[in-house]
Amino acid sequence: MSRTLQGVAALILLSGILPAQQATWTTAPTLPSEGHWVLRETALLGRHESPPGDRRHSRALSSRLSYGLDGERAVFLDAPLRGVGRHHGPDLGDVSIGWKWRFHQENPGPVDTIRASLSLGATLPTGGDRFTADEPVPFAELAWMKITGRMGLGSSLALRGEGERYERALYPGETGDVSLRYAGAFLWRLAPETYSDTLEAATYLTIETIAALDEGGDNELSLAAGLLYEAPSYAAEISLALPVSSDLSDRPESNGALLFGLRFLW
Amino acid sequence: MKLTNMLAAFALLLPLFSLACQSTSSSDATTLAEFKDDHQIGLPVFGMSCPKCANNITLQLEQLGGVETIEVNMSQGFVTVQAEPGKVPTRAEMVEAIEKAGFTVPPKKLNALEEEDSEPQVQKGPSSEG
Repeated sequence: MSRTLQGVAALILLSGILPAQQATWTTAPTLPSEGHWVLRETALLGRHESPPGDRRHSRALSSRLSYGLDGERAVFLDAPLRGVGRHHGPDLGDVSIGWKWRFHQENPGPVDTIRASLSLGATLPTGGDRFTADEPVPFAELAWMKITGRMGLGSSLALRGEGERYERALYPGETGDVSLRYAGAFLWRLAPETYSDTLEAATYLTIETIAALDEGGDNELSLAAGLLYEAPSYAAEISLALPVSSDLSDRPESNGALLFGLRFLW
Repeated sequence: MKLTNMLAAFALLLPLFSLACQSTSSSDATTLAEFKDDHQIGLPVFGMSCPKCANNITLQLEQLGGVETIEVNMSQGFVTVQAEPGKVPTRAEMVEAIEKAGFTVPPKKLNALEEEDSEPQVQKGPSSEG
């Protein structure tokens, strides 16, 4: 096993599989209940640099629509719009379809839960020239979370298959190599300190770590901090991710990314 | 880096997910006991960890016939449904809807009510039992 992979494995172990409520960058094993929908809209603004001095901005607007098949299974569709610089885009990116199965659920108390899920799917070559893998790319993702009182811990691990390199590869999984992405999240419910006897909104602080590694050796570690406001039928989120370390040869270094999101349940 | 190494790392992490799935609770079981009468039924529910998650319960219970109001008490982990007289959902219907929403009704032995749905109901709550 290479030194890079050992490093990422150590990071994961040290973080205790960082031990999350539904955080921003970390996939959570949550899904809509039977016959219901969740729409998540995110706007991602990124800044990239390669070689030093050549700065580039990117924009991505993504929609994920999930539908609950039963209490444990859901299907989802991701549709991204991508743009780079001032004069490029937006173009449609590669659309993903997938199936999510919550294979473990344990609810030890009124507001306590432990859940784990497996997602399987594929990204389809629907994207414009600059933002496509040109062929279907399979992916698998494991997600776990544990919520105890005001604290939430979570992690997700995603494996993405091989495809063609994006003409404008900016993010992990776009270089065409097989890639592994780990994200860990810590959430703390800022308010309310204790829930009342009605269904009320809550605000969380989110701290996350994101590690990405691909078969070609590119690796990147980022830390993110944000806020999540969650009402019964919608949620709003904002999070800033900054790179901590990176060793990239197939795509530009990231200088940071800011994500805004809205989620709706109906 | 070899693909096999990455797959091996993915596989090695699987047991960590199961190790991490050890239950702990931030509080004891709900302090409210389940009850049912001619107009309403109340059940303890576990796992209502966030408002949007818990709203799935409302969405499922709304689909039961005759339901008029649904109250989700997150602090106590308790759900109360008021319905038209004679159309109060059975315990089994409630449990099914709550499980479809992704939550758990704790075993009946934790609660005061031992009667079956088919038997005459006696109101035992909601009441704080400490």
